[in-house]
Amino acid sequence: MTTNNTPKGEERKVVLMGGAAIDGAPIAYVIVLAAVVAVLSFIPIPVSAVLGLGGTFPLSQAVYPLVGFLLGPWAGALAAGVGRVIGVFIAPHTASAGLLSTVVAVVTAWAGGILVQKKERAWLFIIMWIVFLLAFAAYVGGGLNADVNLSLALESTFINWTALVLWLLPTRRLARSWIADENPVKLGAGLALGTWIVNTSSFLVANALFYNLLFRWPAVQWQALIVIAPVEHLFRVAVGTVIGVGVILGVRAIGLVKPAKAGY
Amino acid sequence: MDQAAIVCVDNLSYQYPRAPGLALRDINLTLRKGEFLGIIGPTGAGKTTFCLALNGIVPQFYGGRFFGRVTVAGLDTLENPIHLLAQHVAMVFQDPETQLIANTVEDEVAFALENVNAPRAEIVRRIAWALTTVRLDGKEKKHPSELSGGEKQRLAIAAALALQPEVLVLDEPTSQLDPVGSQEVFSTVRELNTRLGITVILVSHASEEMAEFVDRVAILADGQLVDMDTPARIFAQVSLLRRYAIRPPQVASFYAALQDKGIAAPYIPVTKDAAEQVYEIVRPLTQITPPAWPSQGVERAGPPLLSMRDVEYAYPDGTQALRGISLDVHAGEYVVIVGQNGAGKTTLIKHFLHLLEPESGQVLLNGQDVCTLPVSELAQRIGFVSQNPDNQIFNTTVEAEVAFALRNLGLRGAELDERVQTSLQTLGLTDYRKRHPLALPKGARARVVVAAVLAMQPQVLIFDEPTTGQDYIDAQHILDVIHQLHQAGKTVIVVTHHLHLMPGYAERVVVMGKGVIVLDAPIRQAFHAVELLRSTYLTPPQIVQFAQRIAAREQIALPILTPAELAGCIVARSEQS
Repeated sequence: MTTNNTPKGEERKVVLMGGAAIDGAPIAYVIVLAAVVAVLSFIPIPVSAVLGLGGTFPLSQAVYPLVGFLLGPWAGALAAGVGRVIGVFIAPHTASAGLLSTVVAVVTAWAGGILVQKKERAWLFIIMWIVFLLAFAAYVGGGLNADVNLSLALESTFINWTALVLWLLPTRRLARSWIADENPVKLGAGLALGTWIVNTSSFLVANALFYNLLFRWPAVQWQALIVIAPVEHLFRVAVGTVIGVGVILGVRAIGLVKPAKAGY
Repeated sequence: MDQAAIVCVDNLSYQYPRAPGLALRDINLTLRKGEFLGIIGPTGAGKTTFCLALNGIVPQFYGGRFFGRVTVAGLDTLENPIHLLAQHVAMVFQDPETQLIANTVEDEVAFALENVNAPRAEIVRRIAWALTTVRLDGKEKKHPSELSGGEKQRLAIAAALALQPEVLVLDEPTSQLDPVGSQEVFSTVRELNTRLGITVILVSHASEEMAEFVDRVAILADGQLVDMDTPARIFAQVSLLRRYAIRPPQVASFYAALQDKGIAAPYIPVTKDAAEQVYEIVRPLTQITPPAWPSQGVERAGPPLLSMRDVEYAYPDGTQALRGISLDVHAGEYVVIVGQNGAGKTTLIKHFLHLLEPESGQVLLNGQDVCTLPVSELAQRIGFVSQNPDNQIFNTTVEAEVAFALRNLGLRGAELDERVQTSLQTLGLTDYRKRHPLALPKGARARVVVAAVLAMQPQVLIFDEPTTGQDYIDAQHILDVIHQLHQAGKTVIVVTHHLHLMPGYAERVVVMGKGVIVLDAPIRQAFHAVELLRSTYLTPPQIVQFAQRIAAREQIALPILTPAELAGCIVARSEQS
């Protein structure tokens, strides 16, 4: 503001005391996005041959990272988790893995929120990366203990372990800066890149849990996953990007208060 | 702070995050306990921001830059959390749907009382009182989503009233109410103010009611407090009000028009009663010479374009919304449908759009039953702009919003561009074409939806409450656009409560009450059917009521519609001699 436009009153320090919040995200936002996740659980996407889990996955899987981008890691994890739990009960036709699928929702949104954090929260990133590394070890280790050889295991998990690498490279910062960009094209690219990195790494947790606790899919299925898994994740990325661009442009346009740890 | 003051605003300025300028600038005002302040101003003046500053939502929720001090009931709004301030300041927001959260009407009213730990018996008593006050008694068990737009607004008011707070802030609480409902809200709020001593701050465009009920009026424009004084002084400044896109009370406009003709009244009255008193003073100086009134209505030949035959419809909960409705609308007509909240107006137009199907009877478009037409074809022939245009916006640019339906119809290239450009130009949206629609002011968002509908070049245009929430200038602009479309040959149907805006536009008025058509007449006849309008919770515009009193006094017919028409009937006696 120029000098002749300076208000007469003394400037006051504004402290955001606007009601209950989780990690800086108003509770109302958490509730709204949980409801969105729950509702999207109704929609089965027939792009899955994974693990024989009914041949579909719920559309809500495409927005778990977005929930993290919008709310930050902890509020995002809560919103996705609550939404998925509700989704399991109200849309059982897309919940082949039952309540265990909530873990995927929580971890993916958490990772999405971590992706958009800045340097002061580096400790979160370290913990997350270690969790994913342990999940990778558990999944591949489980396979090696069965009928899967190392070469096949690494080929089958190519998109997963390369995602772990992408977390360490400048790609993470690139995705974060593009998601925060005003340009819709960069925003879309950032959402696509971020969703890919988050999904392909966090689904290691799902793979580790499902493989070791539920199904021990044979080597031939590891073989099939070399092609199927990237296709599924690309679909999630496409859907998440389309939805994410619309949502983020919209919340910016209406001037909705941005949660403290949001990345947009 | 003055000991009797309950609200102190001291050099308040505020800037939203990422906003280029100040939303409020250097506002100073003090309200005494028990005062009733009205706030008026054009769209974008900062009225809502000011209201939000009174309970701490600005800036505690939004952030941004805050200057000065606001103290309410002794609490600084920056140093006390919103939930504490909310126990002293109750607020009714502009859009009631943003604050209805419960599953039943009575639960909605009880919610705040439960949160402040009111005794059960007291909660039950206040629910009954609050619902009776806003005329929602009998609907305690209904889900809020089943209520009409106006009923939702009344429910939000009831929920705030139930708290009986020290300060009650209402941001355009009557914008969706019928005229009688609006009057009742004002008188109820006034009763709370005088009987219980609740300090009231009310934002509204309803100049006539504000003039009658409030103690002081503040004009806000461009974030600044332009003037603040009694209604008698503020609303008498007709030129000032018009400069700030504020509609003066009609009687004030009338006497200002007389002044322009050289007939000076001792002062410009702002209420009906004062207007009658002043009339007794100017009467000896004037003479009424009513002109020959234009012929009423136009006889339309040929079959109707839209038709309803004995349509009956009841909602799943048993509410009989339409009872034996028969209505013909001919091509090229401009029809206004008016009626109380819940009369069945929106239900009726949803039948034209085949969004609802009649239980019995027929709805015809060009002789074809609409139930046999696919909704996509109907949407091309009947354009509909709903009560809340935000519900029809979903693209990321204005241009994309306007082009959306056209692309789905297979239009491409030059033809698509031309239709979009024409539509944008007609609605004055060319400068906004690359902007996100939700970033535009409310009036512009409504125009975006009209542009999108217009691009389809439908035969019929239906507008549901197109002027709700608009200031005077924006409302006139929208009605002017609708008028142009009518002049260009479109058939227009407008559902509205704002009777005072319709003269000069509509030819024919259909009055609905409790699911039936009680009157279908040319506008001049309909507006002067005062008793019939009152039976349907409608009141004619203030100037019509005033003219009726003069007519009764002078034993003549005065079927005028506007202050200008009434002023045109009156000449100075020296002109006659």
